[in-house]
Amino acid sequence: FRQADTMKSLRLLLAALAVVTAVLADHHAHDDVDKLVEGINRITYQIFEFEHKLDARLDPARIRRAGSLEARVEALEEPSCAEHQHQCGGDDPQCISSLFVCDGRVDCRNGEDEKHCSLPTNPGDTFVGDVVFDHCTKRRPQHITLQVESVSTAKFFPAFPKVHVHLEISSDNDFEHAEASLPGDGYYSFADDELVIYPPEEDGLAFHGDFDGHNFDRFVGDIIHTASDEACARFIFHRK
Amino acid sequence: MWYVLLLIGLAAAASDPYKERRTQYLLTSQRLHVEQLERDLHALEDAFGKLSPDVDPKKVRQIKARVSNLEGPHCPEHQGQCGGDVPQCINDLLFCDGHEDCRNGRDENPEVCSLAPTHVGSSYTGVATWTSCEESEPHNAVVTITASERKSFFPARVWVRAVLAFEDDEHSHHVRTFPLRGYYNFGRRALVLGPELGTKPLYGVRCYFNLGDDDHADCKIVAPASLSICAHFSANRY
Repeated sequence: FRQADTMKSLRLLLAALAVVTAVLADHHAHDDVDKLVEGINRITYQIFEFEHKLDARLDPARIRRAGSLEARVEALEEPSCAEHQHQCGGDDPQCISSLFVCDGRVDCRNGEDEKHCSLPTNPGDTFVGDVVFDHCTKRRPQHITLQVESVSTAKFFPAFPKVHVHLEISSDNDFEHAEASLPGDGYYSFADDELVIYPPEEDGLAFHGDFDGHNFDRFVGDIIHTASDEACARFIFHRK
Repeated sequence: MWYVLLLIGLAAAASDPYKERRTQYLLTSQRLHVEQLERDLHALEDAFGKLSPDVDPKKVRQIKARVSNLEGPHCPEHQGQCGGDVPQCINDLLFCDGHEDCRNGRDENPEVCSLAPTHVGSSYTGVATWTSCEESEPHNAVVTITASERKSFFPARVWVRAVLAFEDDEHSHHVRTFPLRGYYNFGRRALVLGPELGTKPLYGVRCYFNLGDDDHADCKIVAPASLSICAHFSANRY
């Protein structure tokens, strides 16, 4: 009986020891795993931070803003290409005919003429213009809304998509409130980043929308006497 | 007796000496992986750090201001530009008068109506290059605001007193000073100074704060009557 008792207590002790060892070993490993997870979390955080820094330099909005400033300086400089020619730009200046820009064939040595060929005025786009000065329009509006109705691109001549727009004008004078919606046809020129609308009325006033080539949410819209090519009213348009 | 054997076996399995070392081995190798990744990342960050740093936004503002100066004034005389995206001109008497006159309200913008250029004690200094009036080599010129007053019924101008001082000669360190009085025009961002009452009308100063901030100005020393330019200096505030 005594021996059996001793054996029993020994067995119990052994079992307890086994459990303790197992628990101890597990506990040990657990700590190490926690440390490992902590290390992985730290490096993940650092990677995200680094990525954030990289993204800040590559921010497209920033590149666009810098491009707009560059375009302003270019506008101040002498035009580097003859009329009806397009500057390929970049580090490798080259002039090509405006008809070759976005025609589906690379004509610039650096390929710039086929790189920026997405149309900024798509069907359904609306731009609202605020008046800067106005010496010629009939209604002297404070705002003009330009609505792009449809666009068609000729397969054999994609450089100048045809654009159909509506110019919504609401004007107030002392006597009446008038609204007009003038349908107009024209084209978009990728070479000059320009939207040209032929005179919608009989008064010979055409519309030129001039994008700066970088920011396509804003353009300067001039009302132009077709005979003299002189701007007599200006509106600054913003994409709505 | 079989269960004794079983228990011993269990205990042996539980205290398997290789199990722990296996776990340790796995953990160590994973830790090494993580450390290697960290080293790679630091190498990348070092390479990135060697690239030229970001441009100071102040510098960008100055360049933008210089470009718009070249683009020229859009407004006729006695008018100020409302700024923002849609250009508009209003009379410079309407700037900072407590009533919004620009469509975008910019004529009452705190940045436009900043009083920093008229703070008493502000000094604007630069190397003045004389083109007439004085036969002197380029020397430092300083304009210091000594007093300023803004009438509550006419807040569009700040009336100031100032002192113009410039070195006559490098060796003798002889400095000539001229008391001046004038005003600051918010719309044109111009500090206009003429001779103080009762002093000899020798020099006046016109400074245009058209470089994008309140700390840099394009200053000219002029003859007070004809406004013909005697000297020119790019002024920094300090």
